[in-house]
Amino acid sequence: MEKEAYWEFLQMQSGELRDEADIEDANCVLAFQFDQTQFCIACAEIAEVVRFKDVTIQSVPRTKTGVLGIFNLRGDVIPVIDFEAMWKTHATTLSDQRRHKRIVVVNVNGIQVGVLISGVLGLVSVDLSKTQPTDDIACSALVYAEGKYFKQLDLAAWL
Amino acid sequence: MVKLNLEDSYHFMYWEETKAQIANIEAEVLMIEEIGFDLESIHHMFRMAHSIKGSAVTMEYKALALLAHELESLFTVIRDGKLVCTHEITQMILEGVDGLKRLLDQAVHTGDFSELLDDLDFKALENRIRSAYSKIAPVSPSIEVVPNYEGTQKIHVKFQEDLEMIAVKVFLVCSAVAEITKVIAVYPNEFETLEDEAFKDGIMLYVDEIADYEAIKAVIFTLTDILAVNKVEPADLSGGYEVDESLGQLSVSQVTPRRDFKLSVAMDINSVRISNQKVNRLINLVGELTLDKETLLDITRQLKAAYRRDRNVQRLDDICDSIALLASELQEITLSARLIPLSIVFDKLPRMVRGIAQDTGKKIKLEIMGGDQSIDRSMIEEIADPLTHLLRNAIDHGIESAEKRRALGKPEEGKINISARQGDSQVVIEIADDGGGIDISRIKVKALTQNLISVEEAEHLTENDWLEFIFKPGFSTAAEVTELSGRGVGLDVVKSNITMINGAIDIQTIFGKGTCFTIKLPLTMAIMNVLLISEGNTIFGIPSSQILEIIRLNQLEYQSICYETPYSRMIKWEEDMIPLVSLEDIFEIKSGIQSKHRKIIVASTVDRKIAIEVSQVVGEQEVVIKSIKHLVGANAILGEIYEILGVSILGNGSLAQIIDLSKLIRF
Repeated sequence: MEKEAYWEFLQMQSGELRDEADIEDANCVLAFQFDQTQFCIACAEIAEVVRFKDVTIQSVPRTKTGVLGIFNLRGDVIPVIDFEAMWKTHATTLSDQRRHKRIVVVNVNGIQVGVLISGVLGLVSVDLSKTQPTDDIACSALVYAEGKYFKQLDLAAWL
Repeated sequence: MVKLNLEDSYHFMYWEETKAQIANIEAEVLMIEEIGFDLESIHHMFRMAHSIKGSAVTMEYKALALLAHELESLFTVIRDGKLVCTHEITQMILEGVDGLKRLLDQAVHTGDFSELLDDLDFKALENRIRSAYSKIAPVSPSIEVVPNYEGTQKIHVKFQEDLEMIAVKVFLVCSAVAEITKVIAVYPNEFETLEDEAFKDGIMLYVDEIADYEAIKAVIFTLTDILAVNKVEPADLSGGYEVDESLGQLSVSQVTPRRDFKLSVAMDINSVRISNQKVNRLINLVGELTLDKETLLDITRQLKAAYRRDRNVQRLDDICDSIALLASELQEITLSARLIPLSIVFDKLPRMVRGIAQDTGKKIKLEIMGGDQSIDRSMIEEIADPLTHLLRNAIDHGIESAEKRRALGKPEEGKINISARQGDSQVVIEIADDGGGIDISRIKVKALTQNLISVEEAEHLTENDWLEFIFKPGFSTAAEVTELSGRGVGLDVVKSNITMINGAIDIQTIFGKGTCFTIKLPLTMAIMNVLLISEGNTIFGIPSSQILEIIRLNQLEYQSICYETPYSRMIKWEEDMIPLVSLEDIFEIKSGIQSKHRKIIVASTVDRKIAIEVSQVVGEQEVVIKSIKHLVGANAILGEIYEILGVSILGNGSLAQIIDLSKLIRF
């Protein structure tokens, strides 16, 4: 089942990027939307995307707000955080809208961490020349793609 | 010169081999110092030095080869009875050993010896060794005749004339032939000198007389630059060699080269080197296999219940039994591959003790027991430093000076005992000295003056609590404490190293009589049986080996053995009062399960017993524990959940969090 999700991820990637075959990883981000704001995660940091409904997350006692627990990704134990809860910094419970949620498994300082997001917009390619700095400590930069600015998450600062 | 690259298997082999040979010499010297002169030891050291020289030349480490050569020459004169092995000589050998070690280290770090060679001490050492043996006898010239070995056939191999680095080629020839038959000897055996001149007439190989000559010839010709291969008949001893029949009887020095040769071609055939990563991967795989096995057994059980009469189900059941058996054996063996004997660490201690004893001018008798006790590979590395540290402390601060000991009526020679033994599912290492012990009153004064503790708090502390202070960071580093209390720097590091590998350290001391540190380590942490417990939506596991009893109590029974205070609960279990905790409280979970019975698990941790109240016992399973150390900590993603030892994937793919019982309670 995870394989299927990965395949979907790859398909998503190839479908959106078919016309820009020479795109480099550095320019590619996974864009998503939350609370009227557009965010993105650099593709270079992403190891895998799995569907939330395909995994069982087990909660870990006494974790801080936003940490959902851990799940089993083909034998690896991956912790998961809820992006929305972390962003809004209030507690969350696992909602019923699991269908559209994705867990983006990212590599942060050699540790794999899952980030639960919803409202995935897809993969977009970034115009690096228009990247702007941001004073938001949770974001590394504002990147420009397809006529919009996205807040690129600084996952290392975040976790 | 080449920098040793330990990733490279040949370099690694060279490095390991040389390291072991140096260690061998060291061990023999110490043995001589301890129990007196022994010819066998000298023989052994000679062979080792010779091997070191040989392989150093192949690696083109000239300095290393030269130093080994000096040592070898020194051993020769001792062996021949021309030099008495005095304390000065053993000291010199040890310095030589250190020199070899430094050179080998340098080879790993930079591959450049020039810095070391500029070191005056180093040159001086070489000269001293040389003068020690050259006073007695000139360096024995190499044997100029071709020896004749009984029961061998001789094969003459000639190389292309303009060939360079013949020594390497000779080595290749020998290796190739060794694939077919044992190479008994090779002459000239100077291939470590790398001088092509020595081989210009070709080489003579001595192999078993029943070996297949044609096959040997064929295999030699698979190499390049071979001009000719000829079998030399006993009557036809041509080739320009002069033969001395009296050399037919092999003397020790002539036997050595072939031993060395064998060493460098084939390692110990009874063991295989395997990288840590591979072992770990293997253990992971076996772990996954074990999980699948569990699932398979489960399915079979269900099938058996549903189709009791079916022949195929019966066969499935049989094969499952067999698989279960095989899997558990496989697991056992794989796990044992991770275990290595403590002697790897222990064997280094005598030398260290000798050094410190000399520096401090104290007399120490070191007794080591239980070196054959094995512990997990990953722990061996972690335990070496703490052990060294404790030992250094014991000699430096624990054992009194000879005069003081005499005055106290103790034997002049201080005694340190190191022992290892196996307790239940853990290894216990003890380091005991008969020195001055620790003066607890000094610790009290220090702790109070440093404001580490208030006067009120201090009143409630037991002796053991006070002793715990020496493990506190910063506490023992103050110089005056070191002198007064007799314990040195950095015991906090020792403690943290040991806790890191889930061990525990304890200290007992009697002022004036001595101190004993007890280190307890888990045997292995890779695979274990756990009792699964469910609390709310979370599954926890408790290592079965630690569980003493599972008790089910109704309210009345509970009240009769439980003693509650506002802050803690204790229960009475087999005459012991043990603390009772509940997982719900510790993990802040509301399971919402109301039951007439309370379920209490009595378990023993490394240093104490504990009772745990749980909501629901699910069952027992064999699991692989995956560390989540990288996720736990003040700034880590899962926070400070130190009570979780690791996470296991259960047969159905879900996760269980394994509890580290020793972290459940702290007081």
